[in-house]
Amino acid sequence: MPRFARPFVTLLIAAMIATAVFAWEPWPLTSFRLFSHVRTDEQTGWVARTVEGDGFEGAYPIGAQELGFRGFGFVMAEFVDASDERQDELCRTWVRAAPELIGVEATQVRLYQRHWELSEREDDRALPGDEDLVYVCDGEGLVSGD
Amino acid sequence: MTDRARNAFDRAQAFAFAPEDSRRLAAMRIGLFSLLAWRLAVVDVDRVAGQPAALFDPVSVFHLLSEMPSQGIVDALRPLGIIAALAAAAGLWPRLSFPLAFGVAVFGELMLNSTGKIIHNEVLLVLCLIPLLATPTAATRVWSMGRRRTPEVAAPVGVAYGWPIRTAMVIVAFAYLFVGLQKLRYSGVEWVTSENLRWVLYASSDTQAEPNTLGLFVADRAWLAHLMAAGTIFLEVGFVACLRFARLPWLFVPGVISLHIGIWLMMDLDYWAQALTVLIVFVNWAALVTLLAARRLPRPLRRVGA
Repeated sequence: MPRFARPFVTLLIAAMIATAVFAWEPWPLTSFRLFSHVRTDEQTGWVARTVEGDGFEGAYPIGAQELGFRGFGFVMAEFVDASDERQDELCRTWVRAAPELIGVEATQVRLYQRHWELSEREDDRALPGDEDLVYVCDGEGLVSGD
Repeated sequence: MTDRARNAFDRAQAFAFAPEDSRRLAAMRIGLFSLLAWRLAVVDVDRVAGQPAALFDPVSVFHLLSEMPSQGIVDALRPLGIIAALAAAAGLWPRLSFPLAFGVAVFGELMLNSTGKIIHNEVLLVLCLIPLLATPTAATRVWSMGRRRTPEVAAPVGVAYGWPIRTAMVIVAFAYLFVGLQKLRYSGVEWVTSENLRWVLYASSDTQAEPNTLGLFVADRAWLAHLMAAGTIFLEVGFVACLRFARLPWLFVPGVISLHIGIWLMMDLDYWAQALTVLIVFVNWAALVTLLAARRLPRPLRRVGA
């Protein structure tokens, strides 16, 4: 058995324990927080829509796209508290990506916050709930929003 | 260190550094690297390659990069990683193939993890490869294409072959323990007693292309959802007892594999790498091979060979 085996194993296991206890994420070490928070009936999410030159507003399922856009929900969590510069940067990214992702030349991207309840269901699907327009982005950055 | 802590540490050391059959370590090598080759081939890293720089949310060593690696890099690394993993499984050039396969796998996983969410699907496989990285010689002592076969010599047994296997077992057990404890830490018993799992299943079904019949069947029945939630915590937190009681893997290994099959069926979440890692690490494949080989011998020879 190599002499480094004991300290190696001790260090590896200690690192696993430490990342779990202190909630660090130096992948592949991780805190193993999978579904660790209680889910509730009330749900909140973000919905994006494009606005074209003629004013037509269409669906923009950013979170279902390729090219690394699938973390949309997590990016929005950052967006709401981000600096002005960061919000502008993200806005420009979403507007400019629309032609490549969904074939739409968007002049604006509108971000709606959606509220719905999982218990309110019809035909095995939750009812859509309510949406509030919160942010409006254009090719230069954030146009309106808090 | 107190006496109690010292005793616990000594027992842990005794478990981790116990002798094992070199064939069992070889089986773990073959299984884990074969599994890695499969995952390198099927896990879709392409969907994040070429991500706009503004969305790049690096984790771990990817903080050294300014943006997501390109599709060209993925196209170059993927076949290299698959070939290295297959060579590692075969026991060829271990000092090169082991770290190369591991490195390519980690690179791809860090790409997936750098989009705002920590991904756990392949974590256990990657962690269990780490002890193998440290023991290329021992892991290829037998059942390797690169070595001359000497069937008349019994496969060696020793601590050198035991500690990588037992370290992997500790990694698996602690992973499930932490998953379960984090649920209790952040949610308490409400994870089981509240309607939590029903909402999880309803929300999951709503994100799938078609409503998930099995998930909705469970979600529609509160008693069943509570039972499955309790079972989940029991399996996750209880798995660590497999390190202490030799017969418990007969309960917990099928249990967690059933858990992952259920998650796949109800939530369309792919944890096959984790389920198969548990199977590879905890089943004594060398003993199974010996048992099957003995059963194929005529009866008189079985007694001689035993």
